[in-house]
Amino acid sequence: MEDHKEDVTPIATNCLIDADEAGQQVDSTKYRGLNGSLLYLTTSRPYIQFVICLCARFQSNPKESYFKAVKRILKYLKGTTNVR
Amino acid sequence: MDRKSTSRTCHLLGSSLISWNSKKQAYVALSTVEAKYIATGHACAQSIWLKHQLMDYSVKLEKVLLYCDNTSAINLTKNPIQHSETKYIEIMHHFIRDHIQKGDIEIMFVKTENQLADLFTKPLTRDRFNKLRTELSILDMKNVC
Repeated sequence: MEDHKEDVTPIATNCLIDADEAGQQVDSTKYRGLNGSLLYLTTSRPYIQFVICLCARFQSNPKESYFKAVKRILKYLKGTTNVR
Repeated sequence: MDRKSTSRTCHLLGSSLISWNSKKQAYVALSTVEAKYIATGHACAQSIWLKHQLMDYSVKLEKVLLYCDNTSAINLTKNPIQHSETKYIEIMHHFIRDHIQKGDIEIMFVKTENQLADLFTKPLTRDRFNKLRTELSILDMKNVC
């Protein structure tokens, strides 16, 4: 993750997260871990609340597309470490 | 899709953000007005709680200003008459009317582009996202120091 490019917003404006039945399954422990950490972060960064809550709705059956959305939040946060 | 809206609220004390919320509504709203009306009701409940909390710190607030971006929803809160179009709205959501009549809360209109709470429900473009983030007094330290 460290050498990824930074993002300017935490979510794409055309991002549509749906059931994604055909999507590839990802490791749910990892997905939940990421979600947990980011949810904790909403206390100091309220502006990611919407995005992370959206991703957190899909924890029982995480798919590649949701994982991508979470990774985008991480990329966004990387670029905004000095925003508080 | 379950056709449920997400209500979002944010509360400012002075210019600081003290409470925020983004939650999917438990009811299927038949119109935008109803969805906004429910959201305004949530915001009202939270404001009243905050008001009570502040009372414990001997801060007495006269009227809490509540900003809503939908004029129809605002009119609905001010008018205690039952319209045929709004009859179906559950009675519990009308508690905001009571508080407005008592003067606990004052409701005001705000344009959509100045609606701070938009940050909590939709994916936004870069400019708008940054603008709203700044207005919530979350600043980029690069520009401050």
